[in-house]
This record gives sequence, C-alpha cells and structure tokens, in this order.
Amino acid sequence: MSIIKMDWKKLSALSFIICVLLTSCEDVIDLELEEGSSALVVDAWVNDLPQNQEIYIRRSQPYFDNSNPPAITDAVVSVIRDDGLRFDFVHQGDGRYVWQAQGDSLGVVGNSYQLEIQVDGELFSAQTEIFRVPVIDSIGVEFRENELFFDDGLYAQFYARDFEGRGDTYWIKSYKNDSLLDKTQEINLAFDAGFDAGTGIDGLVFIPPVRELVNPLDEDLLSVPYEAGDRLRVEIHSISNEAFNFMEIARDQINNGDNGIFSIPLANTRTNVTGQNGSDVLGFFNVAAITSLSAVIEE
Amino acid sequence: MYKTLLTAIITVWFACSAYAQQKFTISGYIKDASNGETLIGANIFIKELASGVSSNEYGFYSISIPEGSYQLEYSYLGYQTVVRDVALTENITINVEFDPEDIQIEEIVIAAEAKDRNVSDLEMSANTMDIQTIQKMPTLLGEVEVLRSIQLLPGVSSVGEGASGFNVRGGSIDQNLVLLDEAPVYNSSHLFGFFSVFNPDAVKDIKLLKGGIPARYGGRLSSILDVRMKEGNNKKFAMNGGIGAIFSRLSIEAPIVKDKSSFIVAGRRSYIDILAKPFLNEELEDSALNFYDLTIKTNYKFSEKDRIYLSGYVGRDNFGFGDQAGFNWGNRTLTFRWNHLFSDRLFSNLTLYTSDYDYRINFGDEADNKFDWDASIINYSAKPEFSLFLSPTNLVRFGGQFIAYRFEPGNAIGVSEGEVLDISVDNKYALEGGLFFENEIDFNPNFSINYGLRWSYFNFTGKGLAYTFDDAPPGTRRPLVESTFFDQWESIKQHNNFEPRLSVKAQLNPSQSIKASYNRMAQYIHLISNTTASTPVDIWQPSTNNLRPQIADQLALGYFQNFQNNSYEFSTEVYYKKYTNLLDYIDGADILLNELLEGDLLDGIGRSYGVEFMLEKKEGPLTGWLSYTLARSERKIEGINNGEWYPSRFDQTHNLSITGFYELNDRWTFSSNFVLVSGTPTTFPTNRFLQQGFVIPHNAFESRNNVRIPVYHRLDISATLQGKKNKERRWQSEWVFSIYNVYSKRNPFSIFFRQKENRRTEAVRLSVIGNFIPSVSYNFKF
Repeated sequence: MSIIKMDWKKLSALSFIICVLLTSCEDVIDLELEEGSSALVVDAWVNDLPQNQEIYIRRSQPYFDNSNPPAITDAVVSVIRDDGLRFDFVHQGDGRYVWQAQGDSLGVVGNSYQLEIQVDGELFSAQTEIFRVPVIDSIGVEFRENELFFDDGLYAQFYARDFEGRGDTYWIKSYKNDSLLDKTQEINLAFDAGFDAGTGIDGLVFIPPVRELVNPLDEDLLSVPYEAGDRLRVEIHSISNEAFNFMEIARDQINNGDNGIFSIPLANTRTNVTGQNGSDVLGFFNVAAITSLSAVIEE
Repeated sequence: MYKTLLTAIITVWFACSAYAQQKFTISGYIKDASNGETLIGANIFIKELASGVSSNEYGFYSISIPEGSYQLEYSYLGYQTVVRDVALTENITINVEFDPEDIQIEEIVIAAEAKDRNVSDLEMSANTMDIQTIQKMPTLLGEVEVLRSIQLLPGVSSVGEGASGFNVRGGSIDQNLVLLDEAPVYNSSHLFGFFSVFNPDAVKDIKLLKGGIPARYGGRLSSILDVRMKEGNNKKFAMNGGIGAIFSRLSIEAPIVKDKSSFIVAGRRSYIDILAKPFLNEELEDSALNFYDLTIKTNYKFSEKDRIYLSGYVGRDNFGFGDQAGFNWGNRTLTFRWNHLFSDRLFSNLTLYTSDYDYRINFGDEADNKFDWDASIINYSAKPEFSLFLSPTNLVRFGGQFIAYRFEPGNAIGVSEGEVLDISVDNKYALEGGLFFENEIDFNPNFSINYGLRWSYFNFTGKGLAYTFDDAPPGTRRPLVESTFFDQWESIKQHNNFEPRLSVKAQLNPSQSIKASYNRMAQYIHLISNTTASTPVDIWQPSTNNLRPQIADQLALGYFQNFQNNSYEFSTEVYYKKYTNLLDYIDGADILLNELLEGDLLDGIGRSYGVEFMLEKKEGPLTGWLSYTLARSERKIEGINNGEWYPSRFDQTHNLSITGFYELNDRWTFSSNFVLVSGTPTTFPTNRFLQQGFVIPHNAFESRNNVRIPVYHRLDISATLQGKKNKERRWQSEWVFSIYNVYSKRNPFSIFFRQKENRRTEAVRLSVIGNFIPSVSYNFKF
C-alpha cells in the first residue's frame, strides 16, 4: 500500500471513525500466541559513506517478549566486495558488529557484495549491489494553513528527480535536529518517483506525499510543523528491489492497525539471506548509496 | 451447443402446438386489490386435478388444461382466498385481485396448498422474505435493513459489523449476484457496511437463492439476491415516510392512469453530518458526511398482452472535508422491462439495463496542487427470457443475456506545482453472453424436477494492452514479459462454460419431502479486495488472459417437513461446494492503481460444506424462526499457508440466530433477535524481530488464518407502537423503539498488533460497536 493510498485510508478511516464516533472502541487485550522457533536475524543495512558501518546479528523472540532480543556474540561477520576486498565486522557487544572506517568506504555505485556470517558452524550469506541514487536539489519550506492533515505552520519538502528507467527503489530518511524520524508511519519508501511498481511514475520529481513525509507525524498521524531554527536533514538511500519489497511488507504490517476494519492479512517479509544448512533466518542485507541535504528552517 | 439448444426449443414448440388442440389455457395477472401491486408467487390450485401453479416475478400465471369444468383457488399468504368456477371451452383470462386480510391472522383459512410451499415447492436453498417481515425486525439506529435481515437465515453470514456485503455458504462477497429489478448492484452498502442501498419503502419482495440455482441465473458463484421493487399504487395516491436517527425517508406512489399506469418515487437521506458536527474540530467543520438514495419506478399497461416497466436507482455516499478532500461513491441502475404475451401460454420479458458503480477521491483545492482519482465499472445488458406454460405440470423457460462491460480501474491525475502526473490505469473492456434452457416438470404431485443448462461466454477485449507474465516462485510477484496492444473490441481472450443445473423434489406425504440439487456456476468478473472488510475503493476486474473465470460446483440435499397444519416449517440441508480458480493475492500486493495487477494475483481451489437447520413458526401471536448452520469454508492456494488447506476469512463453524415476533395486541408488537457466531479466522504472528529499530511481526509457521477471534454474540430488541386504529382515517403512524446490542457486548471485529514506544508490542481488540445503541423512529403512511 502506498502513501496516497494511505491518504485515502486516512480519509476512509476518518470517515469511518466519525460514523461510529460514539460506539467504536479499541481495547488492549491479553492473548496467548502460538510459539514459533527462534530464528537468526540479520540486520545489515550498510552504506557507501566513509564512516563506521554496523551489522546486528540477533535472534527473533516471541511476539510479546518486550525484552531485548537475544544477541549472537560469537559470529564471524564479513562483507566481501566483487573485487575480492574483504571488510571484517568485529563484535562490539549486544550482537553489534562494526567495521571501522579509516577514511575509506565499502565502495561505490555499481559494486556488488557478498555478506558472510558464520554462526554455530553454519555459513549464512546474502548478495547485493550498490544502486544509483539521485541528488537532492533542494529543500523547500512554506507556511501552510487551513489544510487537511496539516496544522497551520512551517512545512518542508525535498526536491529530487528520480532517474529515467523503471525499477529504482529508495528509502528516504529524515532527521529533525539530528534525530531520525523513526515512527513506523514515517517509513518513507519510493519506487521510482512514486509509491510502487504498478503506478509507473518514473523519471520525475518525487511525488508530493513522498516529498512531504519529511515532516514529523504526531500520534494521530497529522503532520507536525517545524519551528524556525529547526534543522532538517534528508537522506535518500538507494535500496535493492528486494529490499524495497521487504520494507514495504514490514511497513504495511507494522501499521496495519491503523486500517481498522480494512486491515490486510498478516504477511511475512522475505529475507535475502540464506543459510548453508537451510536454518531459519530473517532480516536483510542491503548496501545503500546515500545522498543528503540539510537545511535550517526559516520563516 | 447451439444445436442442442435449438433442437430442444423446436421440440418444445412442436410439443406445444401438438397439445394445443386438446387443451385450453387460463392465464392472467394476480394483484393486491388495495394498491394494484402484482403479487409474486401466489398460488393457483385446480381442485379437480389436484395440482397448481404459481405466479411469476411479474405476477403472471398460465395453466393449460383439457376442456372441462374446474374450480380454481387463488391464494396468497395474508390475503383472502379467491375461488372461481370455470367452464373451460376456450382460452380465457382471469385476473385476480386479492383483498388483504383484515381479520386476525390465526383466523385465516387459506387453502393448505398455499401454506405448504416449504414442503411442496421444488425450490430448495431458497429464502423469500417480504418487506413486512423485514420491517418488524429490530434495527440498528432505527433503520429497516434488507441485508442485515438475510444474515439471520441459515448459510448467510458477514465478517462483522460495518463490513459491506454478505457471505453465502462460505463464498466471498463478490460471489453474490445482487439484483435490483434485474440490474446488478456492484456495491450493496451505504456507509461502508452499516446500511444497505435498498430503501425498504420501495422494496416489494426479496429472494435469496443459495443453491439449486436455476439455469436462468448466472454470473456469480454463491448466490442470487433478487430484490424486486414495488410498482407503485395504481389505485390511489399513497405516501410513506419515516424519521429516524440516521435517515429520513419519504416515498410517494400514485396512479398515472388508473389501473394502467402508476409510479413510485422513494428517497432517503442521512444526516450524520449534522449530528456529528459538535464532535468535529474546526478544520472539519464544513464536512459533508451523508448518503442518499433515490428509487423511481413507473409502469404502463398497454393491453392485457403488453406492459412496460421503467425503474431507476441512484445512491451515493458522500464524505467531504471542507474543500480539501472528498471521497464519494455510489451505484446507479436503470432498467427497462417489457412483458409481452405472445400467446396466453408464452410469456416473455425483455430486460434492458445499465448499471454502474463508481467512486471518486480528490485532494487539494488549488489547480496547481491536487490529486483526482476515480474508478468505475459500467455495463449495459439485454436479457430476453421466455416462459412457456405447456401444462400445469410442465414449464419451459429459455432465453439469453448479453452484457457489455467497461472497467475503469483508476483514472488518477496528480498535479504538483503545476506538473501533471497521470498514473491512470487503462480501461478494460469485455463482453459476456449466456444462453439457457430450463424445464420444470411435475411428473405427479409427489415428484418434480427442474433441469437446465446454461452456456456462458466471456470475451476479454481491447482496446488496451494485454500483459504476459513470467513464472515466479509461489506467492511472489510475477515479472512482466511483454505487453501487446489490441484494438477496440478485438478479442484478447475468450472463455466459455457449460453450466448444468438440476433440482429434484420427492414428496413423501403432504407434510414431508426430500429435495436435491446440483448446480455449476461460472463467474467472469471479480472484486479485487484483500482487506478484511471490502472497501469502497475495491475495483472489479474482468477475467483476462491471465485471470481465469471462477467455477463452483454445488451439491445439496435437503429434508423438509411441516407440522401442525403447516404452522411450523422445518428444513435441513447439507451442501458441498467445490471451487476452482479462486482469487488471492501475493504478500505485499498492490491492488490499487496497479497496471500490472495481474502479476500480483494468485489462484487456487476451495471447498465449503455444511449443514443448515431452520425451524419457523408461522402462525399465532408469537412467530419467528431459529436458524443454525454448521459449516466449513476452506482454500488451498499455492504460495499461501505453505500450499496447504486453510480456513477462509469468513469461515464460521457455528452460526445460530433466533428471531422472534410477538403481537401483544392491536397496537404493540415486539421483536427480538439473538445471534451467536463462532469467531472468524485470522492470522496472528508468533514472533517478532528487530530491523533498523522497527519491530516486525513474523509468523514462523508461514500459516494463514491460524487462529480465531473470540465468539460473537448479540441481542437486539424492538417494540412497535401502532397509532390508534381508525379505519376512517388515512393517516396511520407508528413508533419504533429499538435497542441494538442490548447487553453492550464488545464483539471483536478483529484483533490487530501494534508497537508502542520502547518497542513494546501489544494486541488490540477492535470492536466496531462497543455499546448498546438505542434508537427511536417514527413512520407514517398516508
């Protein structure tokens, strides 16, 4: 589901809420869930910037287990570039493995990589490459008033143009005063300049709902305006099509509760990591190229 | 096939003319004397032959019998029986007008033949409900509800309050052919699923066919819901109206030319927006939140042989948020029908209709920054049908249907800073056809059979692109290989099916019978919907070169018994259904504005089976029924649930409902209904894992619908107070007091999972109705 589709969903959810204004209710309940076996979880989203890169190796846990996930502390983790260069990730505690950059980076657009993780005698591996990413031309700020889903105030948009040719996929991340907008509804994915493969919006400036999701959302999913003096940084990460599918399913699942009676069935994400012996594994390996632009919000 | 059908028709014709020399025909129309409405399913019984016929959907009947003297009994429940003595020496016309019963119902003496239909009729898996019964049921917010009423019948269910449509014998909502005066209605709900689009003031009669579906019906797998509108009072001016918590209604009917022509206009409008206003913030103050519908029908009788009807419906739900955004949807239908008698034995009806459903969404009020999105399904159809009354025990029907479709899956245009972006999905076109032959024979009063065959045909045509996809692992998106352009009406892919139908009745004695039926149904258009409740933006999609027509075979066997002089009716049926080419979706499917939608669709097989019981008390101050269904509905689709069988979203193991009416005296009537339903299946996660700081749910077994939400139960009650009975006065009124969900049960619609701060995960129960809902409404008649 896409964001305009999310907008219509907001609209219908809003319509629906008004209809059953006085009677509809949500209650947090206790529930027994079936227990599935714990799987290895690879959280390997690294990038081309000349800075330290992190990979997390942990395990999955029962759905209602709110403790920290079990960490794998004795894995051997490395990323191997297509020219044979090997980047070793060293365990730093709690399943966090780090490659220390010394002014260098994992590579550039066009490089391809193999992730190798040795755990309990089994080799887990994944392949990917660094895809192209467009530059951000500008960040615009305007005062908006009397708009649906926007309180009156200063709102930003970023402007960048997707490449010609279908099938470029991106994850756009925004930082307000250096902290990442990390609400589940703030996950901002783009397929070419639009939301998904089917719409075929290619080679254009990113469409408005993508551009506008650099503004934080509040609890009711209404955009929160910036104050003058706030800093905004926008990053575009190029991700593989498989990574896009992974995150699209993840986002739709995490936010499924917002859909009320129009929820979709539970679906599992699809990993690109495989175990030599076929052991259960979850998570994803992606190497992104990143472009970014910062701005200070002014009236 | 054409040949077989032609041969059959010719044979019948010959048979007809051969017999014609020895027999004469009595035919005519049956009506209600008070308002001139034709009566569907009235009984005509010939004492001397101990056999009878009933009036058809247009109130017409015809009996061909040898010369002689006969006594004919015309009967219809709730009306005084009419007896006519006939010396039959030539073809004659007898039109009968019934007077509604004034006396108390228990005093009525009606010919037994009229009341034993449960047992004696060939039809099984069928329920009819007159509007008087529906009007007596408890309501949600005071609104009489056609679709909610049928959910109290065995084999009919819904996934929950607010969900649109209904599920019949384990089928999805798009497998019901909902007909309003013969025109299909593509979205039968107002306000998501809370109310149906049918204005009770304009409805005469509804009939639901769940199985044993005769050959004259086709196009959907699970059921036919045939809603017939009133023709309009052709005796005198009449007005009906009501004021409720949600709607106001008004209908006017009157003769145009007395006994020849009449009309009815019925309208409703909701005023939720007015009620909701205090709860809306400033931004939403100018919101429009309403829905309305308007039903118009008129008819003209040219002669005893020719009569035409014109009926139309327009309804719309309208949500507008200031001038910032709008969201509206609705159906329109227009039906023209011409009843013509070729002879007093050959009745024909030609229906021409057009029907469409569309929705529109828009954001933004500036020319430079806006988004407009609309979608629709439009169809035009011609449907000639013939009924040949060979003898009182032999009825032949034949005919055909032709439909032309235009699908507009999405016209979407965004304008951003003046830059125009067109993300529309191309229109699709298709032609559908059908030919049928059906023969109903009563070999003797105890053994009857209806056999038939329908041949259906579908042609997916240009103009547009036809896509070819490559294979992909089960459950994943299939990549596009190539697309080919086709011109307007150029055939891309043709489908056709033979659909045999058979119903048999064996009557053991006057109060017991056994019935059996088989039907095959084919469905060529599909509602694309992967949400729990279907949304108004779900689109209809034709069968294509990638998407095959859905097929269902159903076998049903039933036992029927009446007790105590037909005052109690009992029936039980078992059924088994097998489906092929059922639709489902890959994980992460994009079903809206997706040119390559077909690459995201999966197909598989399904089965449903069950046993249904119904016990109805028809007479006395206390009436009502008890319905119970034990059923299973399952799917098997490559790429879902590891390719194993799993219960469908609308699988309900137990479904019990009790509906009762009690007439205390002339003025007070009470009614109540209680429902108890197994929770529907849903999929729960088993595990969670972290990815870039987000907690992602995961089902380690890759299973679908692995758990059930808790049991649903609810009690509703209502009381109706009639105004003081005064025959002289034309103005009559009543107050209806209702409480929906009397004991405030928070029935779950669904259970969903979410993550809160600090990655805390929790389960949330969503109840659409969380409280009891009282309401009062006032109805009047003039």
